[in-house]
Amino acid sequence: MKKIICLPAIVFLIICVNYCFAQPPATKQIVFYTWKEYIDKSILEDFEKQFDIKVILKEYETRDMMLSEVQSESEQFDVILATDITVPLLIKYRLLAELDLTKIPNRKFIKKQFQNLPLDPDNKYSLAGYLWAFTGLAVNTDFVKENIDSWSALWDKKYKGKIALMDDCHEAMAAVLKYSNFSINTTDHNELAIAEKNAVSLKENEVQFNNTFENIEKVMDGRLWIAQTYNGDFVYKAENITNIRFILPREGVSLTVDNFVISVDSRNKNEAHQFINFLMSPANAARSSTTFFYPTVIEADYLIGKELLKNPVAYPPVKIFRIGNFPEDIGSTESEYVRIFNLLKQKQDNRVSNE
Amino acid sequence: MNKKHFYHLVDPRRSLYLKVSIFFLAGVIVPLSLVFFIHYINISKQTHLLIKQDMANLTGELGRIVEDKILDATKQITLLATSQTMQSDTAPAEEKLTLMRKFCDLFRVFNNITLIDVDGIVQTAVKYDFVGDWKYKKWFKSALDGNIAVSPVHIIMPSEKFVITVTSPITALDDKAKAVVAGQISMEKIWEITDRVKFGKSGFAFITDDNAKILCFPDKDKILRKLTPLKLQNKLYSDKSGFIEFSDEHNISKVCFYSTLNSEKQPYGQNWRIGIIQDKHESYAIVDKITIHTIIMATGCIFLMAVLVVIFGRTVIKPIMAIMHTMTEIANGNLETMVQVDSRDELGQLAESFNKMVGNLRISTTSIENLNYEITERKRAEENMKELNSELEQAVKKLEETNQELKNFVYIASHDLREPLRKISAFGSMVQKSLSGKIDGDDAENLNFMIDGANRMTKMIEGLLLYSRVSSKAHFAEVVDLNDIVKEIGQLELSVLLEEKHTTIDVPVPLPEVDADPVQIRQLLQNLIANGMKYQAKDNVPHITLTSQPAANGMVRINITDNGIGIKPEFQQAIFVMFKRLHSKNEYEGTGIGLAVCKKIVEKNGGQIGVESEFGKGSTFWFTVPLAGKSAGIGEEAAIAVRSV
Repeated sequence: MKKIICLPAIVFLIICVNYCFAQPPATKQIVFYTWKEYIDKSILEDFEKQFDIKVILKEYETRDMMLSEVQSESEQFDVILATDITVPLLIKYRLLAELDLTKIPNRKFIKKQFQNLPLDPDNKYSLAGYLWAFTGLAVNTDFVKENIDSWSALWDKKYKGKIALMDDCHEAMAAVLKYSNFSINTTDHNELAIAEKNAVSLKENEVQFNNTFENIEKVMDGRLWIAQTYNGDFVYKAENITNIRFILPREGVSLTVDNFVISVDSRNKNEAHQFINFLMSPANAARSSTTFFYPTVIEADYLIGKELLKNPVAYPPVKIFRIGNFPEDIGSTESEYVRIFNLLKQKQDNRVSNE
Repeated sequence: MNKKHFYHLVDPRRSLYLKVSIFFLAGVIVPLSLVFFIHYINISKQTHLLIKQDMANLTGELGRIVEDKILDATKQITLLATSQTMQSDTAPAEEKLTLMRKFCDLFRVFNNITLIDVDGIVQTAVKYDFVGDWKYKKWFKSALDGNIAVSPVHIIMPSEKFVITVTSPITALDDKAKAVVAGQISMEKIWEITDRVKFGKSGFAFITDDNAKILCFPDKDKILRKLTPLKLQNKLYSDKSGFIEFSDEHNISKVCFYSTLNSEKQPYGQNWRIGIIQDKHESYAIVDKITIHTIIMATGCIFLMAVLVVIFGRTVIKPIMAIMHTMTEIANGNLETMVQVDSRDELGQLAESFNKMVGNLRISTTSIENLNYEITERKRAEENMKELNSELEQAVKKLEETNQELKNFVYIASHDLREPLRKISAFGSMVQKSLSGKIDGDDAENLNFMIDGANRMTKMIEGLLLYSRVSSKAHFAEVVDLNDIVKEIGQLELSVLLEEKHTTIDVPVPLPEVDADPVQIRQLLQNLIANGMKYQAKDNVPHITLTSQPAANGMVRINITDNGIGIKPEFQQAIFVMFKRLHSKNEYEGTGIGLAVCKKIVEKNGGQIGVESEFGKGSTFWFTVPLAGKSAGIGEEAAIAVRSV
């Protein structure tokens, strides 16, 4: 009799032990590396639910940070949202896996002007499939009374010490070059010499370097009066604040597109493709655009609120494509850009250390 | 028989050659091959070990060189960082840059030297490379913490050069870093070392970092990409050192030996793997050579064994086969066969004994053979005789048949002819009587001739009929008294003739009784007596004497002696032949049948007939006939005697 009772008990015990020690089925996961506060977490949750793939989010604040991180630990990331200028670098650093475009059918929704961009025209490694942006100037109207419509305001002695550029070689140099009425992708050494002179005069005007959010915040609280920011971030941070304005400088701006890339060392390339495709669906693109006030490259305007579409900072007029440039590969001239950018920052440092 | 034996000879199951070959194979070649195989495995193992040792030595040496190169660079950058100029806060940037440039020229390992402040801003640099923001670089942060740091291999822009950055802090008096000196070691300087390594023709060295990314490789396109194939990668990062065989992307078999750089010595703590990859076929060339040598030696030995088998076959199997062949021949009856074995060993003795045995067998077989031959010959003769006899019998039978037919014909012909002839004779006589006197001399004579011819013909036919009757009629033998018959003939058949010629028949001694057909014997005596009377000279009185004398075999000889003209000796045999006449019919009339009939009768009664005569002095016709009471046996014997002749 006892044995008969024992048997089910043992069976139950075994089942319990098995249940406790049984490893849960290894759910697949991908690591998504993107700009800080640049993805709607609810979209990630939807993706996790729909595909049973866990998404680990990692964020960077500057392009250099992203480049350094990916360079030193490429196997940690699967999908990376790389700003256009970093794509050729990542390619040259041999950090990117080739894309299998057949696994991204949603690429058909990409707007024409964002298809086959100059830095990776064949979309071998990258696909512009998220949002796009441009840099302009955030202005505190409490301190700046005149109507500003040009980069030249940064060179104005009136605002000495109250100005800032983005702590980004490409964007800072774009400001200097646009002010000098040159292309942001110039490789002309004479033009660069002029740009260097202008950089020196800008440094004399005590320009500061911060990331885009710091710039906006500092303009908002008056520590800075005029600062370079991304359009979307401005809308996101300061949409309803009346004393600051966003200026689209008339000389032109640098346009930036976010590109999806996959790390060469990703162990979940299939899932990475699935994730990219998911984010590129018009519905999700519209959600991202609505959340972060940046225009999307996806044909999804019909899903976006009219209010946002009418906002000239978030959705600038079409002329932006005339006055704005997408970055191009400038080859070895890059070192000149770096040198001038360093020059700009050095002066600032000297000033700080002197204090 | 021959075929069957031949079959046995070539039947593989029974082939002695095959068995011997298998024995050799099993007993010699297999163990020999095994020895070779074990020897080969040992040698190839040893060779593999040697190759691995070589590779291990090389990778160890290479590792030390590369390590030293990097360590030297860190020492040099530290030297720079601790120099007075760099330490000085007051020295102008240009002075520092000049020193940095001098360092670059002095230590060619450096591609670039950069001076960075604590915020990551480049203060001065030999080259303004795009390396991104220094403050995010681990090696920069590590240097800020007071360490000498070494970066992983990375690419700098825009030159796209592969470099390792070594950083050293410039420390202030309070031991805190106030700036960082970063030196870029160009990977080309390390490749100069690794690319120079040659291991055989195809062997080359490579280095991978702890993420299996290639740092040094002859194909520069592979730098900073993951090591392939995955099999090699997994092996490299599962053990600290080892040996692996794999196939590359072109499906070429390769071997790889690798070891890990001694990470304790490394300030940067990276588990670099240094390895050597070589084509498998080249790496194993020595082993292949050994394999070939082993195969050649083994083949040679096997060939030698085969030669031995052939020689063995010649010396041992061949005599056995010869004996076997001979035995087969003998079994087939060919006793002339001999075994030819020249050797003096046991087999030679065996062959000799065998030959002796065959010799004995031959002698005993020869006598039997002779006997056999005689028997066979006799049998053959008998066979022949039987054949002849049967042929003869058949011939006799045919002859008898023919004879019988002839007899029948003669009988029928003479019997049927007699009637018309008699009519001719009878009517002829009637015509003669009625015409007598009416016809003249010639016509009467002609008519006479005609009647005479008819009469003669009747007689001839009667003779023939008699003859045929004698030969065709059955023989009824009974005791006959010859004296009575002679008396009766004289009184009846020949009475007219006897009277006419005044003949006397003399029987001086009574004749014995005989066993014969009384009718035929009467005819016989009548013919012979009439014959004696007929052939007489003109005007001679015939005188016939009958005598008897005993003859052999229970026979009696009857002699009928006349005093006639006699017969010349050359005609004495011919007279018994039918129609044979010695004289013309004008001399002595007759049909020529009488004596033939006599001969027939005598023969029919088992006796013989003959004549003894002297020309002109008379003849004695004789015949033999069985004595009464002895006929049975005698008749048979006589019959046999007749046949055998």
